[in-house]
Amino acid sequence: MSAVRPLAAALAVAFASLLPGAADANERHFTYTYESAVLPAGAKEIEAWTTPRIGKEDYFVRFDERLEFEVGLTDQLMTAFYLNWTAVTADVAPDTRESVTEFSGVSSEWKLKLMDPVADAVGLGLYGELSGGTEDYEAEAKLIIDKQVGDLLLAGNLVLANEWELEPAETETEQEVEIDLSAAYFIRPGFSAGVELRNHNEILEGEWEHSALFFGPVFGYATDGWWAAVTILPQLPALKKEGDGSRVLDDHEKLEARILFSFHL
Amino acid sequence: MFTSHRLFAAALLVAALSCGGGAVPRPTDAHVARARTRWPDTTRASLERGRELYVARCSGCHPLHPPSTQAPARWAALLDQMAPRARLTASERDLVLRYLTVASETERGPAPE
Repeated sequence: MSAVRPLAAALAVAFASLLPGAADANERHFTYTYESAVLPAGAKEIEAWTTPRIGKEDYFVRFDERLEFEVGLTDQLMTAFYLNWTAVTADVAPDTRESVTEFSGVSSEWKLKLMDPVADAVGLGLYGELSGGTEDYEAEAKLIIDKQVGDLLLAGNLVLANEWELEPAETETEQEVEIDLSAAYFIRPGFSAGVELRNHNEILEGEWEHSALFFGPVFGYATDGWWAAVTILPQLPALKKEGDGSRVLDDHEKLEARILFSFHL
Repeated sequence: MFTSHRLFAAALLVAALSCGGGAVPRPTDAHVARARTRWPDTTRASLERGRELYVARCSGCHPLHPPSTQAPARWAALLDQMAPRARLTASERDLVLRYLTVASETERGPAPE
């Protein structure tokens, strides 16, 4: 597990050293909720993601790591390419704790900005992402709405995803519906603080399996050359679940956090 | 279940409707008249182009600052700093400067001499 983050950092530094240039940024102020902004045409950026996912019924620590290269194609359209890793340490039996680190695949992201959150009545964007790995692949679409009123930034996403899990005997399909709602206040230029709410629903074979809810603080900081954002999301009692307990702990964890760090090329 | 979502959506809608994009105003005849006192060849179309460039090139890197949040005279120095990052050519920078200066002046009043 410990090898993943240094590897991601080393790759990010390698990218940066190969591609020097003017400073451009695509600041994000939330880590789960997307905003409608896209990189200007020709601008490039590297983003490193770390998502710790901690706590199930037994000991469980997972890190999802992503390294992203973004480029603005036009002033309204950007694309990005991701490399994804996962590292898990968990109790698999009494007195047996195992750690596994694996390369989990690649992703391609496309985002189209239709309206601006300051200049227009509301910001509006469309987002699509395709991910593929050795065990599954996924298609995801997002509707992005955001609005900035003075120093207050509001954003909401409706996310629809379809995942195909490649089992030896058959391919299992599941659908996901997620609603992300966020608000942040610019305490001073470049520094924002707020909250994120994440509602994740899973539909398996046409059955609504669960509706997990997460809520917590988010902080963003941006300065010349780089920006970072961090969210800490404890899981709240689920809106819908089966079995004992109030939280969804088979597909989710007691606590999620996400750290984004990005620099301009 | 969706009560909090409805409240947030309602807040978003009210905020959107109350603002209506006025933070980055569209050029009017008053803007053109004011601009011509300094740049006689200014037209409504050139101010529109300046606004369009400002929205497209600057919002990709940071949330837009409404023109009136800066004193009219300050926009020139800010654009000197930001134009290379926004990949604005000299003529594009000039269009953005005219728009931002005039939009700020119209709301805040002319800069002191």
